[in-house]
Amino acid sequence: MDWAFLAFLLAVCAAAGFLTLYLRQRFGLSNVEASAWVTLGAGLLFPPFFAQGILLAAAATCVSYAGMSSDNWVPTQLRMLPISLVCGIIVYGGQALLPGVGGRLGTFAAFAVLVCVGLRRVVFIVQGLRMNSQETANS
Amino acid sequence: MRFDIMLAHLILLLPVAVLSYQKLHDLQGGLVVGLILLVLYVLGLSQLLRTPEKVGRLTLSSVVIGCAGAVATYLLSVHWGYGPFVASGIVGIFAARFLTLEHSIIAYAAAFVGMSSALTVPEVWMIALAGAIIGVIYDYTSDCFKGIGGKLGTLAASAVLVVLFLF
Repeated sequence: MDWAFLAFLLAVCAAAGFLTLYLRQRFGLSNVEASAWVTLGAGLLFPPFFAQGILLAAAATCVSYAGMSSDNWVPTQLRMLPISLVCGIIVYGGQALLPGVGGRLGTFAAFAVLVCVGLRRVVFIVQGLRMNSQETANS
Repeated sequence: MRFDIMLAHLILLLPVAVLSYQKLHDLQGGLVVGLILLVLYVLGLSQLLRTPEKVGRLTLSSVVIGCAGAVATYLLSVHWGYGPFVASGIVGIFAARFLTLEHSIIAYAAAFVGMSSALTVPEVWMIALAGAIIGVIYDYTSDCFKGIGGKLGTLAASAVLVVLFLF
C-alpha cells in the first residue's frame, strides 16, 4: 500500500469536502452547483498533472457528492471532515468495485455518509453506557 | 412498512448490495475494514429507515430531463473526450443555472449515469434509457434517504445496473 499517496488523497478529500460546504454556506450555491464546480475543478486539475490524477479526481468528486447532504446530516465543517476521510478510504479501497458504472462515486458517498451516521450512533451508545455506569457508581 | 416504501428503499440499496457482494468475493485485503464499514453503514441505515416516508408521484418532465442530462454528459465525456468529471461538472453547472432546483437535481443525477464508461455501457440508447429510469425512480424515491449526500449517485448506479441487467 502506498501510504504517502493515501495521505495525499485524504488531504485532497478533506479539501474537497471543505470547499463544497464552503461554496454552499458562504456563497449560497445550491447543492448541485457547489458539487458541480468542485467536480469540474477536480476534473481539470488532477488528471492532466498527476500520475494517479483520475483516482484523485474521483475521490474529490465523491466527497463533493457527500457534501450535498442537507444541514440536518452535515451542518458544519467539523461533521464534514470524517465523511470526507471515509469517502477517501472507500474510493481508494473500492477501485475494483462497480467498475465503469455511472453513479458508483455517489454510491460510495452515500455509503460514507451512512457510515458516519452509524459511527455517531455508536459514540452516543458508548457515551450513554458510560454515563449510566457513572451514575450507578455514584449512587 | 408499506410495500411501495420498501420497494423504494430496495432500489436505493441495490448498488450497495452489488458492491458488498463484489467486496466479499475480493479477498485481497481490506476485507476487515470493508466489513467494519458495512456494519456501521447498517447502523446508520437503521436510523434512516425509522423516519416516516411516502413515495412520490411520477412526472413526464423528470423522465425527459433525466434522458437529456444523461445523454449530454455521455456525449461530452465519451464522444467529445472531455472525460466524466468535466462532463458532469459542465452539465451540473448548466442545470443549476438554467433549470428549476428540482429539475437541476434530476439533471445532475442523470449526469452521473452519463459518467459511465464506454466499455461498460457502450450504446447511447442504453444511457438514454438509464437516464429515463433515473427520472422515474427519482420521483418514486423522492422522500427516501432525504438529505443524504450521494443519494443521486446511488439512484444513477441503480438505473445503470438495471439497464446492464436487462441488456
